[in-house]
Amino acid sequence: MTPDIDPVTMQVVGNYCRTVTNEVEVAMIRAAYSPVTKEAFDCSAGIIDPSSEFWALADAIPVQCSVLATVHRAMLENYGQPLEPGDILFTNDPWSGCPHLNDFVSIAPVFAEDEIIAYVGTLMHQTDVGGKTPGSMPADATEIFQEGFQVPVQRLFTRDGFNEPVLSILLANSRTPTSFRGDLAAQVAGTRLGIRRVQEAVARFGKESFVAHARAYVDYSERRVRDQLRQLTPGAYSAARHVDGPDYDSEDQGIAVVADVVIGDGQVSVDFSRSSDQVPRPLNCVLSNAIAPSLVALRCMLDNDVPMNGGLQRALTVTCVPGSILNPVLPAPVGARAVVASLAYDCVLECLGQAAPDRACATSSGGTTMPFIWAPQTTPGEEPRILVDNSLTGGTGARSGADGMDAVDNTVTNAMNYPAEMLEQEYPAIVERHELRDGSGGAGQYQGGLGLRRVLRFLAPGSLALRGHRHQYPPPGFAGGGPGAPSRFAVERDGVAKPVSPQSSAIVTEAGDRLIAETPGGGGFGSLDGAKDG
Amino acid sequence: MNLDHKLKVAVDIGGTFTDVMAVRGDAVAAVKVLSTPEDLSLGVMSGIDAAVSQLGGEISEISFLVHATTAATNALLERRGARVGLIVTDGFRDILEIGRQRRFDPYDLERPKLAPLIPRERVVEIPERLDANGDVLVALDETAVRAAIADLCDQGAEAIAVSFIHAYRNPRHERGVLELAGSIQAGPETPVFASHRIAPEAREFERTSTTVIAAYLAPVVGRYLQALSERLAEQGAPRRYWVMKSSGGLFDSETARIHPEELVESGPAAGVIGAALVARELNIPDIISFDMGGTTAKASLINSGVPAMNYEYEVGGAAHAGGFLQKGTGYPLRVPVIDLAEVGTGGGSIAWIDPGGALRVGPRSAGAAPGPVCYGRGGTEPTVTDADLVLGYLDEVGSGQYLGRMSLDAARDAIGTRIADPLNLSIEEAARGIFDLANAQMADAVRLVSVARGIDPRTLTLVAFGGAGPVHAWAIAQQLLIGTILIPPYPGVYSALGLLGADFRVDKSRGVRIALAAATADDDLSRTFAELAAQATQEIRSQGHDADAVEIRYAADMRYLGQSYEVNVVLTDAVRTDPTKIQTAFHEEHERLYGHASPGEPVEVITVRVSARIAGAPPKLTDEGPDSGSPPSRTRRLAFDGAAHTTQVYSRHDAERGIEGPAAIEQSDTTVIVPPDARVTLLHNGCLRMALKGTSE
Repeated sequence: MTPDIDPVTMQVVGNYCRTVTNEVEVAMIRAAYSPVTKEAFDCSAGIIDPSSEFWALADAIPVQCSVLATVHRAMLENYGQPLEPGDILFTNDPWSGCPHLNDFVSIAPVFAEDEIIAYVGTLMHQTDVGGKTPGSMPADATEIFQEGFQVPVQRLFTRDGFNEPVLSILLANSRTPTSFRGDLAAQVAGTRLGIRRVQEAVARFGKESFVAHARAYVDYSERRVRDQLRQLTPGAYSAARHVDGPDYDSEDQGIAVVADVVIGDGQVSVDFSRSSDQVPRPLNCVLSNAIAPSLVALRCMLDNDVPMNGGLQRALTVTCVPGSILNPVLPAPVGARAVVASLAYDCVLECLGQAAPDRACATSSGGTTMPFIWAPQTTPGEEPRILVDNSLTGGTGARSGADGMDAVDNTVTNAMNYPAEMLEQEYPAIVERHELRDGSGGAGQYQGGLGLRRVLRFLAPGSLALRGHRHQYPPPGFAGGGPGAPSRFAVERDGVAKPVSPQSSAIVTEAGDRLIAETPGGGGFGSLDGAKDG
Repeated sequence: MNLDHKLKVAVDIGGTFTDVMAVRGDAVAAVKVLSTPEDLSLGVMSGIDAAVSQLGGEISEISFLVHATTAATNALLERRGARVGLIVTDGFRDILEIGRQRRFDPYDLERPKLAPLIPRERVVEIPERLDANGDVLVALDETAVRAAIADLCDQGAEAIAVSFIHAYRNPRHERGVLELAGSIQAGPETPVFASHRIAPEAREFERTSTTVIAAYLAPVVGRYLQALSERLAEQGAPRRYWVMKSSGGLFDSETARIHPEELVESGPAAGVIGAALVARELNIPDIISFDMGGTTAKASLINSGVPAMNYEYEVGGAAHAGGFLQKGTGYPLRVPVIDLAEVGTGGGSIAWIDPGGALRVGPRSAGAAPGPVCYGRGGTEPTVTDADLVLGYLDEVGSGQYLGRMSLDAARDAIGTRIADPLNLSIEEAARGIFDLANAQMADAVRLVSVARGIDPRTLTLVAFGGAGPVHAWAIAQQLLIGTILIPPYPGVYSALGLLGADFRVDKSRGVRIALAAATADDDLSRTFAELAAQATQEIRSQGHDADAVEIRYAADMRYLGQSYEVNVVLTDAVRTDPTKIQTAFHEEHERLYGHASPGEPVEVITVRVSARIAGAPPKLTDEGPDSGSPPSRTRRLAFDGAAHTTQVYSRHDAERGIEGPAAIEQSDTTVIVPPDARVTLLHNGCLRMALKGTSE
């Protein structure tokens, strides 16, 4: 700690930055249009150092927040020109670290006396960015061009307002231009609020002092992380997860996520090099999305009060081979990357659990990484209303001393479900059941949490896309506990339910058809007879 | 000279103390007694007795009694509510288990979900279904309803909640259940609470949760309210009294028994209403009420004398702490609640050093027992109060008469060994750090209800109360550039004063879906307003008021078509009858809150809200205020800006001539700290007004 850092101001500035990111997050949620943001909170915010370390992240979707720093660095490099006050850069470019094409990241400089002292970053899931199916996440995509359009970094907003020529190209390629524009405006509103708040703090603390104390808070987190890592058993640990095939009975394609984790002196290195090569399926996870789940898993193993900032990242290195499923290159499709990101999280958490057995737990369902998308048929010329339903999560893994939790978001996401009454006001569909799926929790001394059963009846013809996983490889147990039940999806017509592939797009639905979705339970902990056979 | 000779009494139960205020004419008695958790009505009666006696009166002479109670909050948090059964639409039996599926802290693998108030086996599904327009898709299965009621009664249910999908649009099926329940109940009656009566708004989990809370609390809270009625009647006082709702309005004790869901933030609301009365009396447009107690500090925004409301409150989660992002983690309660931001920082908050070497304050509190180190009751960990004492803001002898003499040496020792030595600071520097950090945390609460809502704090006045509020208010105001602070008389028992002046109030809401572009003046919207206004008027009249005095206020929750989040907009009479003006009001509010609006976009109304009010009669306080006599010493050393200043100590009455900072003002229930360059004057209503440096007088 440098001599002019005062521990009280450090706490005050650090907490202030987090409060500001949460204000930005709330402002975006309140002002956004699409239900996926409004009801599910599918957006994130952060404050970022000019060096691309993050000072604070909103209490939002963990895996999204953590990519902001990576994307920030790439955006500045790619843009390559000086920024003016009021400028906001946008991109959805996965090769810069954006998770998938729906996720638009913005960064904007915060000026103090002609100097950029920090950036405000946001990320929001945009409902439709073109591509072959409504909602832009086709499950059968073989290359990224089927998933929509890529927007390399653009100065989309200046002090004079939107850069309308560029914006018009974006809107022209979206099926839902109205909500797209509204949601981008929400990102702008949140960003400008964040800038104002940081500038107010600069006025209060002075520029140098504010920046120094914000950085000291990152140093402080780093100290906390390293101290706690030193309490883990040092060594090399490994864990692997299979990636499901597209169907229940798909041949084992040998696609796997493998993490080799080394815990040394206050440092964790995660090596995903033994993972599979990239695949012509939308499961590829860009490098930022391999780092993010590792960071989230690390944060979960620490005491609850360790501030989530760039200090954690200093204690973590992540290695991925270019061209692999965790660091793909063009033309890899990436639409369902959250599936693999959640497996990467599982692997790292399992390795850390081996090093800290008292905090170990069985695997969870994978959170809300399996939305389904339904677009009711429209007449030509009509702007479609696309339902992105993020209500499908499952049970959490049991741990030593406690059963898993039933039907709660988990691992790398933290969204809210879509209330039946709100959904039915917006879309021609009826939520017939939203209930716990009995018997789905993994058996064990401590039982895994239960998954969900959600049944929707469609009142109009339309097109359905599923992005399920865990149907072949359900969440495993730990220390002798059994796995949770695998996920199941079926479409019922005229009283006959037929299984549908969990990863399929453009399923034609008729009025009266039902979607029956069943999500995985969490894994159990310890063997049933009570003896943990490890 | 106040000619109102009725004896009026206000009672506010807190976690540690029960505050009682009695007023007759110009005479005021303020009393603090220990709360009696095993039977709260005992402490209440002894407090009333003490306060009334101070005025030379008898309990039988009481003409008006108002009560803020924690009975509902405690029953909920301690899970001592009734055994409740729940009847839901087929397909939704797990609605309470599932909730909104969010977890409290995404990085915490261990914290469990809040357990539902009703176990799964006491939830019964009934075949029936409405669509979003309220049209019947599946008729109510009456046989199944009869069987469900019988089953729940067999399971020993003391109350039943019923919540059907889209019942806010069409209550027909829920009414069917109420009728069937009425016709088949033979033995002791089990009350049935229907969601369309408790919270007729869209979003099934939130409405169901509210209904369940009502059923869960009714038997327990009803017994308490009844017991108090009987104790009052035994001593010759009227059986009926008034109870503070979370919205800051009053309703009678009989209505309170059937709407206990309205009582969950009864206590905190009282203080805010007190602050609002000050704002109205002095005609100050925007104030922040700041209430600092032993374990928490609460802030609330009051605009033109009207406190801001929260319609998305959650109990037991963190959403009430301004933590919108923790939504979906508590028990939602869809009733109007005064919008409070609460932080776990108070006088008893413990200072500590974490493993990373950072100074921290709270959220653990030493509470009343063992209390701060300086109280000498066994506390060993330094608290905010100990830091206040070291910095000279409190005095060993002169401050806190309820608490007795404090030990400066003990406070210095604790801060020295536990904070200053490890951080290599002087004791004074460590105390300053504790003070500053506590203030920063409390300033966050103030920021959440002001700057976070687009309100510039420089235009605000801070009204500070609670035992520790006037000690810390100046520093929080300086941080947020707030120019003026008001300290009401009796800040230590201020909530009780708020009770005496609160309005009587009935709130009604209804979920609708009305597109304003197509609306005309005499359609659904105005019909709904009229119906709710008639209901509210009728209800408030049934509580024994003169209907001529009823004031109706209107509001609507609106959104852009396609947005799924609503904005609450207050509608004046001139606006309410004109759909175009309603839309304009919405655009303006959207712009104010979020910095942008889309005036071309269609707007729809999702929830209609009406409240009926009858103005309260706040006691007229004079500038007498509480007199603590002369302070025991005339000077002491206070720390400001890193140095100790020899500072005058005054009593409250000295403010008549004006007091220049730096200064300390001692009174029986608190100490007011005045920083350098600030000036304090005494106002006609007994408030102290502090103008801080660089602001206009």
